[in-house]
Amino acid sequence: MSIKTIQDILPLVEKPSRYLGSEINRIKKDHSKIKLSIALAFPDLYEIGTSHFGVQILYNILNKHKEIAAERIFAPGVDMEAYLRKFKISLMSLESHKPLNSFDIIGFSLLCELNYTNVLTILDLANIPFFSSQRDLSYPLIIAGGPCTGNPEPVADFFDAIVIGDGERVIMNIARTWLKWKDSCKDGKENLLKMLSHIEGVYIPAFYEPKFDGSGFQTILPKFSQYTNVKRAIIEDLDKAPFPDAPIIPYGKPEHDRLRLEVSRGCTRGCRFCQAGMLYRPVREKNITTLLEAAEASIAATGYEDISLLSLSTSDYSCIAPLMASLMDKCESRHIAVSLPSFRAGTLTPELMNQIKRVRKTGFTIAPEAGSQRLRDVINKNISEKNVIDTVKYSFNLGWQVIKLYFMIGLPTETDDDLQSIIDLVKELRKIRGPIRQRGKINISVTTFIPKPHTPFQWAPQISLAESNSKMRWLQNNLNMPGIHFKWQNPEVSLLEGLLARGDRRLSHLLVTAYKKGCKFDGWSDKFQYQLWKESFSEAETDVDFFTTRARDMDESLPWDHIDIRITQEFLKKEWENAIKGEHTPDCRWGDCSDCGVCDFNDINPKVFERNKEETTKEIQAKNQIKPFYKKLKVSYSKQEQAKYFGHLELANIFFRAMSRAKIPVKYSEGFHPMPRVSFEDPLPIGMESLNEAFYIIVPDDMKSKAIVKNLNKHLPEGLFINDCRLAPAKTAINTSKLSTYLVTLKKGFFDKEKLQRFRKNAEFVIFQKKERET
Amino acid sequence: MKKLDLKDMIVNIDLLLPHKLQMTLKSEPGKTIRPFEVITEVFNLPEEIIKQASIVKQGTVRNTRNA
Repeated sequence: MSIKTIQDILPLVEKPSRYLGSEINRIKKDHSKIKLSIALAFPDLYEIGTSHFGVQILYNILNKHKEIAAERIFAPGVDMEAYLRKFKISLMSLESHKPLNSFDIIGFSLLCELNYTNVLTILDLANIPFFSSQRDLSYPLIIAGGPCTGNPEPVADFFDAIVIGDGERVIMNIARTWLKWKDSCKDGKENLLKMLSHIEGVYIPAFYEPKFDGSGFQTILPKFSQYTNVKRAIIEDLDKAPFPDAPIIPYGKPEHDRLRLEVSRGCTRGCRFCQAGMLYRPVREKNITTLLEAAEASIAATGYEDISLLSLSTSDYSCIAPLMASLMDKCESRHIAVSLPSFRAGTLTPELMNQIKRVRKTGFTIAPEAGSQRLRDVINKNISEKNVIDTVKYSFNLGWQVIKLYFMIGLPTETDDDLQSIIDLVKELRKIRGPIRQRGKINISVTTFIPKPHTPFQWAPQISLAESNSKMRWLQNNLNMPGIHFKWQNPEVSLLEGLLARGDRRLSHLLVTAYKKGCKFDGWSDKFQYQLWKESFSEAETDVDFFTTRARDMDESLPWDHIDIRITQEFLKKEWENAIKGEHTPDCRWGDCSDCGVCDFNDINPKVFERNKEETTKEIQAKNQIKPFYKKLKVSYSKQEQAKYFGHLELANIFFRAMSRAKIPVKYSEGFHPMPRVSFEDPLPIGMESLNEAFYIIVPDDMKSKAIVKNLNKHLPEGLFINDCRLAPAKTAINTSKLSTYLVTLKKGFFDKEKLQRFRKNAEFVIFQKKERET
Repeated sequence: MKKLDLKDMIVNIDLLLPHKLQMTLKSEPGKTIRPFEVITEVFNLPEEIIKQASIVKQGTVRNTRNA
């Protein structure tokens, strides 16, 4: 086979559009004109990585500078990885297909410990040594950021620098420092690291040395007296932070295929298990005007049909009701839905839900976390059973049919009665009926609690694998009832996550061992191989219980002690004591300061707007508009080059969004889930080009066909082109046969003339076709 | 599995060059054949070679002979 580039591999792999890098709003620069190239690496598949808002923020910030080019790279699928290895092709960035090892900086986003082995895959495929100590100046600077850096120690040896805190606060400082260092003739790696260590929020692992005592406890010792801890970087005012209002629209089916609008950062509800609640303090809300402007600009730039309000607890946003009302006023006529991915039971009023369902009903998730009030008090999850029941009642009454509930097992102080309470609560919820007495569907998702660094539970033991398995099985048996769908995270996965979450520097060797055995995509149930991990624990001499099921002494030094996320140890200890007593700590955003240590009350303060006390449910005025006449148009297009890799649904989405960006007012269907009235002719198989395909749209009678062609062509990715648009025939013949002509060109080899002659001579040539074919 | 006679489905098939082929395929509701299948069945080429080939649909017309 003649395979020399990634382009040659595309026809052979699943979801080839993942690797094209030609999405709408992506930025491709001329590398001969830039001084600094940065690869933003996400150690998971394209569909997951493109759903991460942080990468979009950094991409936007960096690319605003003409001297800097930021490009993306994701972990390749296992099929692509196999081809890259087989044909010795280096991993490349999406935008300019530049080999990863030729970038100046590679920045990894670490969102989940289960992605760590994929970091090694990416480095390996780029021919970059894993350990920072093995890399000289001929290699890129390898950095990381994201929530996992709360305890960076298990991966610290891999990185030259690690960002602690808000990336947008730090990234340009790193870029400027690198440029300054480059201008000073690239004077030694250690010199660069020293320069970087002066930036608040930058951790240089090489400047700290781990020491281990006879019992295996790590103490981390700074090498320089002026660099003894690393303080988290905080962006004080989100309104002033750059917002990516023209985000890249991923191909395929990304995990979050919608516009994301970050309404606030940080949550001070104080759930004692929640690491994000500690890592992102204080609450910093965005102004409603900023949000509405960002929404308008982003919709125009993307054509998305869904907006998701992003934050740790969106319904806590102080102006949520007026924001929703204003957004819905803007969105309803454009058939754009608004969803709240995270909210607390008890905060979502029927008025707010009425707003959400004005366009279409989006998903609905509640996280009681624990079944009993006692245990919810322990974890400071201040919602009552009544809150949960009322919220489910509202949602079923308003027409939602599926509710998702999250619970955890193994929380500190948990007893059998607490588990029984989950069953009791679910049974109560099952009794709730909708307006026509129908029963909704309830999806229950259960995970094993993992104590995380920088939380009040950081000293707590994680329950053992055996206990976790036994509790999951018990819940599964007892929740086996009609209308309930039980889903649980594999306890082995939770054990690994727990190990990596609170591990120390010794675990980098465990990760390399596991990687070499074939561990990758550990967060994917179909790829996770616990047997290989068990072998790795043994080979790397990792005492899993030491890191997971062992209760820590409150005075022992922890591997993350030098990472100052600005929350004091005193606060965490006090919160642990309050947990044991079941005492509530109120949310400081509306009450007294809980003295966690984050705010300095000069630059760093909670930023919360006054709650809007106005009536939030404006009556939706009946619009007395004259209904336009409509016509049906046939739009003919060609699909060539890279566009041949778009699957049919993917192509439909590309056209829907392009029409939205081009402001073509396609008619929508009626009902609960309005959809654009667009229909396609027979789908083309992935990998096939076509000079002339067609789809049909229904638009107002006064729309000009030529304008559609011109405007739509401005908004299509490479390879798609509108050839023509004209009135569709009154009746499209459905039951007639068609003749299609194809031109086939082999890249390698020839067609056998004799076989063709044989075919021609035969009176018949019978084949057996599988009924369900892949397209 | 569905039984199909390719002679009914392939209206025309010509070698333009040793590595270039043009074919016209007939499709009707419930009975279609794709170029990939034709090349596989008639020429018995390996899957990877066919996947890497360029296949361009030139156009479609209604089959007036049978309509």
